[in-house]
Amino acid sequence: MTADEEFTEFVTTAWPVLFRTAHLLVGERGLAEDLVQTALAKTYLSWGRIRDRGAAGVYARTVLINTATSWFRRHAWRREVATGELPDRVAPATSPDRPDLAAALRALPPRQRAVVVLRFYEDLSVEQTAQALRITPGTVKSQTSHALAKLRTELGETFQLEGVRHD
Amino acid sequence: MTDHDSGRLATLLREEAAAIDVPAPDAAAVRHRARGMRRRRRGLEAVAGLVVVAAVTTGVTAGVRGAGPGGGGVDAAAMAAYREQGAFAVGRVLHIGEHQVRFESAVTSIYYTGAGVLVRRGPVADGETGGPTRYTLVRPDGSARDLGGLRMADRVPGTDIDSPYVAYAEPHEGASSPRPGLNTAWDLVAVDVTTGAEVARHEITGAFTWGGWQAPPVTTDGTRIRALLDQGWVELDWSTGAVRTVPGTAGVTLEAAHGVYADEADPAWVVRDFATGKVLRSVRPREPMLGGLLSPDARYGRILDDYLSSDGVPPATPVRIVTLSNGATVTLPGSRFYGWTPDGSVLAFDPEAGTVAVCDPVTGSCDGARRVPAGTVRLGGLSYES
Repeated sequence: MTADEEFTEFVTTAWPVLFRTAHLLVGERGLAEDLVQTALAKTYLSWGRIRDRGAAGVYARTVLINTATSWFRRHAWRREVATGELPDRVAPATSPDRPDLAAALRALPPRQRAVVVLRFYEDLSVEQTAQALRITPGTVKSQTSHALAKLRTELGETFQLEGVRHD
Repeated sequence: MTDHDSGRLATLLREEAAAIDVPAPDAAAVRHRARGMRRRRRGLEAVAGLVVVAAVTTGVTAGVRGAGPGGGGVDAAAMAAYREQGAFAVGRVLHIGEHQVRFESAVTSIYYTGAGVLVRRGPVADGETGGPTRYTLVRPDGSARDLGGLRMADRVPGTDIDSPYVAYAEPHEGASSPRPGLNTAWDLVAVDVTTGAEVARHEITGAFTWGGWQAPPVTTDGTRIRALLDQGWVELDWSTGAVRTVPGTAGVTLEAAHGVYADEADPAWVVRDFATGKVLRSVRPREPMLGGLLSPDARYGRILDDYLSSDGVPPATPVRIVTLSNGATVTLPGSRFYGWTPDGSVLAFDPEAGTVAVCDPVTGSCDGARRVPAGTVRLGGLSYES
């Protein structure tokens, strides 16, 4: 199998996983696609140096988070995805059984959204999240606390009651 | 946060992710994009090297130990040494010019002012593990003054190498919203670090939804304070009370120093004068969507040609320093962390050798390397705001 064929196979496998993380991070389909393409393109440029192909997914995810973090640093990007004044409550849930988490995530500032996604979706530790986002562990904790408080406000009783039912 | 909160959130996120409609992968498009990046890289590699910024780690607070009282004049030699050699900290010890000041807790940030270094100890963000944040002025002669009344926490203050002020923004009293982004009235505050006295407080208005800090980040020089709101840089001259939005700055990057600002206007990093809007320099980084960092005196820029290090190890890639007035570029070696001195020289920390040196931003020559003990190093001229 040639290197290009290996890479094509890798893209087919890694794409859905990376796209879901990217979508949660940036909250918009087109940006998520752009983010994953950028991360995979950078991975391709380093493909010859990734001797352990099994580690390629981790490498691509790291590049994706680094790229997203650079995007967060751009004020213009934040404005492009901002919804202006935040509503008092997010739009009604898309399903009576599932609260509209996507809208609630979009209402968070980028850093808080990234902290939530990395800690609770990617299952990274506080230290790993701090390292990935280049912030201090204390900031990860405080941002998590702020984000959780906002999510509770946005998702209201649904979040609390659903949580109780899952206990 | 309870375990069931976090468990419930993880479940909701997995459900949300599973419901996302994933487009089909296109490996050919990815390869095409990669080859485009490679072409851009090759085209630029012939011109110069690249740069990475690195952040180091943290510490917690306490009082000053072994430092003399603040106040009084500072002799010219000490001031010259401060301007030329800058400041850095290793753990609890601040090195300023030819002096050292030991604190009872680690230094977490160093801000250059015209009166010396404003040192922050303690975390930047308020939170359950945040604790207090303390600020101290350390003069070029090593004397110190504790600024116990200064409370800034999770926001980005501004200082300038020629002014004795630290400036910051806070929600205007009575206008504070419990939710970031809804507050639209802010006070811009200037505090004289030599006395601790508040010298200016003026209200400005405008939405701030983009940053996630408790208040908009600010920059300052002289009697001007500028806050980066959604509408762009809003400038206050507190000597006259005049307020204006700097034209053409809606959506610019947070990067400003000594009367100029920069924007990552992909594909170029563009530096402009706040007063006139004139482009002072435009430089193209090797990577799209990256930019650069201004020296505290705004005479030089460090181009971000690559992504930031996230593992505390400086990348091996070389570092490009540009003289903004004429575009001249020098390349410094990689595998080092780089900060600035107040006069625009480059502070270089080599973790392998355990030394800090001062490098000429025009010739690239480095000298005066000082061996430093093991510990967390913070360099002056870098932002450690999260």
